[in-house]
Amino acid sequence: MAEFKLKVLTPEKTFFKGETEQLIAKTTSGCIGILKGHSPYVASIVPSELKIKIDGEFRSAAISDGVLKVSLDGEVTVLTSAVEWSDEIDVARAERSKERAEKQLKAESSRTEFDLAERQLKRAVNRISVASKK
Amino acid sequence: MANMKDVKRRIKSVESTMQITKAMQLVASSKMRKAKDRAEAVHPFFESVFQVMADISRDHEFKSIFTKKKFKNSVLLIVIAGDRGLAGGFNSNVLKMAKAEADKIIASGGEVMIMAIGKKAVEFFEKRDYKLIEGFPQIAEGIELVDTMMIADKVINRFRSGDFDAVELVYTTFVSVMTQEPQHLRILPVENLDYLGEKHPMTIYDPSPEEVFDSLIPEYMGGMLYSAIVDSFASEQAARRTAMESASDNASEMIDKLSLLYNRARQAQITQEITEISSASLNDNS
Repeated sequence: MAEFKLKVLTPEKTFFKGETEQLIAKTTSGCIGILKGHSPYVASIVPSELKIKIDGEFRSAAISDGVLKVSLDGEVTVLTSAVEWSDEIDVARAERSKERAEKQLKAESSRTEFDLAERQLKRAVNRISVASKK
Repeated sequence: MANMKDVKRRIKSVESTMQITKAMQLVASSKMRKAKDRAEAVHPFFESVFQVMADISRDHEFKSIFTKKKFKNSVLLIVIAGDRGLAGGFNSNVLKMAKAEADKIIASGGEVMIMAIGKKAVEFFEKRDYKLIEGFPQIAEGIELVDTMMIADKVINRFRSGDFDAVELVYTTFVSVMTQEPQHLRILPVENLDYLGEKHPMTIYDPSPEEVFDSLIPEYMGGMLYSAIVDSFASEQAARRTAMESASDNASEMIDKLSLLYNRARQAQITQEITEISSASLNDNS
C-alpha cells in the first residue's frame, strides 16, 4: 500500500513522525479513513481511538480532543493535547480519573464544573476502552 | 591584630555557605537543561497550530468570539513567577512588569483580574490590592499538559461567559543561559493571524471553519500556558544558577581574603614569639 507522511504532535513531544499506509480517526461527524492522496482537509477530532497502519498492521492509540489536517502536499498532521499508544495506557490512572469525574458530575456543581467533569469523563472512558481492545 | 580563632571560625562558616551555593548551582543547572529541552519540544506543535489557525483566517470570512476585538475594559492577567527565591532578580523583574501592566489597564479605566501561577506570584498579589481570582502555587516543577489544559479550560469557560474580554500573559522567557527577559503578550482574542500567502479555498473543513477554529482554542491555550510555564521554569533555574555562581565566587574571594588575614595573624604571632625568645636569651647571656 502507498505510504504518506504523518506527524502526531502534542505540546510535550512529537508522538509519531513517519510513513504510514492508512490513518483512521474519529471526527465530530464520524469516523474517517485517510489514504495517500487525500484532498486538503481539516477536521476536529473527538476523544477516540486513533489507528495508524504501519507495514500492514494497525497500531492503536487513545487520543483526546484535537485537530487533523491534510495539507496541500498530502502530509497529514494530527494536533492534540494528549495521545497514548494503547499498550502504554495506565489503566489504573484512567480508572481513578473516571471515578473522580463521576463524583464531580454527581455533586451539584456549577455549569462550568459540570462541563469540565464531563469532558474529563469522556477522555477517561476513551482511554479505558482503547486499552481494553488490544 | 585580628584574632586567629575568630578568623578561623569565619572561614569555616563561609566555606559551609559556599558548599550550599555550589550545590544549588549544580542542581539549578541540571534542572535548567531539562526544562530547556521541554520548552523546545513545544515548537513543532505550535507552528502547526498557528498554521491551521492562520489558514482558516486567510481562506474564510469567519466569525469567532475568540478573535473579536473589543475595547479592553476587563482583562485577565495570567502571571507566572517562581515558587522559590534565591534566583537573583527573576521574581521581582517579572512581578514588576505584571504590576506595571495591571496598573496601566486600571489607569485607563479598565478592570483587571489576576491569575497567579507560582508561589511568589500568589504571595505578591495576595498582599496587594488586586483582584486575584485564582492562584496555582507549586505547579511549575514537573508540570504536565493535563494541568495546564485544566487551567486553560477554566479560562476559556470564563471567557465565553464574558467574565473578561481579553487574556494576557506575563512570564519570563529564556533568551540564553545568561539572559532571561520578562515578557507580556496577548493570548485572547487571537491576534497576528494575518498570514500572507496564497489562498487555498479548496481545503475542506469538517464540520466548518468556525468550529474547527474554536475547537483548536483549548489546545492553543493549554499549549501556550504549558510552554510559558516551562519557559519560565527554565528561566528561573538559569537565574538561580547565575545568582548561585556569583555567590560561590564571592564566597571563594572572601575565603581568600580571610586566609590572608589568618596567615598574617599567624605570622605576626610567630614573629612575636621569636622576638620574645631571642630577647629573653640575650638577657640570659648578659
